[in-house]
Amino acid sequence: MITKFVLTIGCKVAAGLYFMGGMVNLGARAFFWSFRHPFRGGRLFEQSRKAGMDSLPIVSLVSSFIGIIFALQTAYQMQKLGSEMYIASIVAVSMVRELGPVITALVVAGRVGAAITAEIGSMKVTEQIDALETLGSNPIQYLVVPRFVSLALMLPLLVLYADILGIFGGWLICVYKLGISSTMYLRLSFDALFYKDLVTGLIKTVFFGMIIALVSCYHGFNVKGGAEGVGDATRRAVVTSFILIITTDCFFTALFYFIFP
Amino acid sequence: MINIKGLSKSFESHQVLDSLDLTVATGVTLVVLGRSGCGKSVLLKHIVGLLRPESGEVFIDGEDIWKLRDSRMDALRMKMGMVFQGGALFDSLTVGENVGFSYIEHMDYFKLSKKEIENRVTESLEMVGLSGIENEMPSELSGGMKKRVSLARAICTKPDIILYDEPTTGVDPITADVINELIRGLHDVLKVTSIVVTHDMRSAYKVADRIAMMYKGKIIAEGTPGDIQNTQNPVVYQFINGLAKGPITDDINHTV
Repeated sequence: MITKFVLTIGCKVAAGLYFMGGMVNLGARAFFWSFRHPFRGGRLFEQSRKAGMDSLPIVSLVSSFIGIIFALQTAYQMQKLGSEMYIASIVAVSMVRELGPVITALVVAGRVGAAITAEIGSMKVTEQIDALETLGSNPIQYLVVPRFVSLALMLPLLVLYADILGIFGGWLICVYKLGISSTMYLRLSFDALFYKDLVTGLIKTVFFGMIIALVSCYHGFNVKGGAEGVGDATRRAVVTSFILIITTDCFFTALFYFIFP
Repeated sequence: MINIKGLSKSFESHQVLDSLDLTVATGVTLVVLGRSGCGKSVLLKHIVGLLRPESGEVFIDGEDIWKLRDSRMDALRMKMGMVFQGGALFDSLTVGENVGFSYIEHMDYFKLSKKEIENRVTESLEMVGLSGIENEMPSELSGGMKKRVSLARAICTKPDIILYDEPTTGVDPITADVINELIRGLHDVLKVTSIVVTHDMRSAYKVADRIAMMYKGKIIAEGTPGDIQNTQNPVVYQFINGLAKGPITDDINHTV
């Protein structure tokens, strides 16, 4: 019984280490090939459109609703204290520092990351990745680099957009429900925000973007079997991205807390 | 010339290639026969450098491919074409982009203009009996057409070596014969060195200069089609005549 337990734990740890090793290896190669000739602008643009532009509707929906919900929940507490004025600053700071980056990253991991794993996984099972190599193209450069670079660039932009919409959501509640004037709300929001809030919020999203791209590509390349394998890898990619985004967020929040107290 | 020495590979505990030796002279079409799952595709993937052997070497024109730098290996791959079992066409690209993939991706290497690439693509498609489908997507094609487009992609860069992984499996008899004629034509006209992996005996006799039989990870017999037809080896005899009873099936029954 104990031996079995130890063995199970040992296997899980070994699998975890194997995965981390694979990720570091893929990350290093993706980084290396990002700066190597030839540079493929067309594919980068295509991936940026898929990751960025096409994600706008869902990011708009989620972030504005989060702003509305957050303002309502804060109002519920603040009304007891008669301090509704603080809602604006609370919504702005929470959106920019935390909710915008994390919620957007999770949405993108589910929407874009899953699609990357399914696409690369299908290419793997139909031997398209082997074909790519036999035609003298490096799969890392051809498939991973455009996704890696586009997600690292697009996620911060999406988060900036989500921050604005989140604040807009809060504005809707405060102006139309609580009767705070529009200019007052905006002034309170922007007075509460410092550059460091925006910068720390955006820096981590570059890493979230890289994590989503690497995890999704890694699981795609490691698909085994047919359709079932692709489904399995997609599920694993999304779950792993979620876990890594949350843990990385925790790490960065702690880091920034000590660097910029 | 392709020279394979002592090639071994196993997946988990299953030994797929076991100290396999094989030589294919320049300009020769060699057919490798063997049952499904006996490791024929694995052998091809070692030749083109997709799989790393556990032991043994693969020499192409005297160069050990696993000792080459990446850039040299890529250059070597430009001289090789491979036709995959399921076609392996890139489904996000059109037929034309698939066929001209190497030219488009390696413009610095080939130095061809857009017009020249288009001409080469049309020419390659015509060679496999297809025309006017450059702008279609692979998903719109039938299985046989996909295979022919895959063949067009492999021959587009006029390679010296072409590897075929079951080129006639899953296509109708007429298309199969078109493919056989094409393999033969490439051999006669362009003096291409080819390895054709198949279990289609009709195709084997039609295209082969030499035939090798793979069994239990080794090449157990090799010779001209005439030698193989007159074989004394019971394993080869059972395979080429498609008999349900014989040493191959006895072996399976024993292991079960």
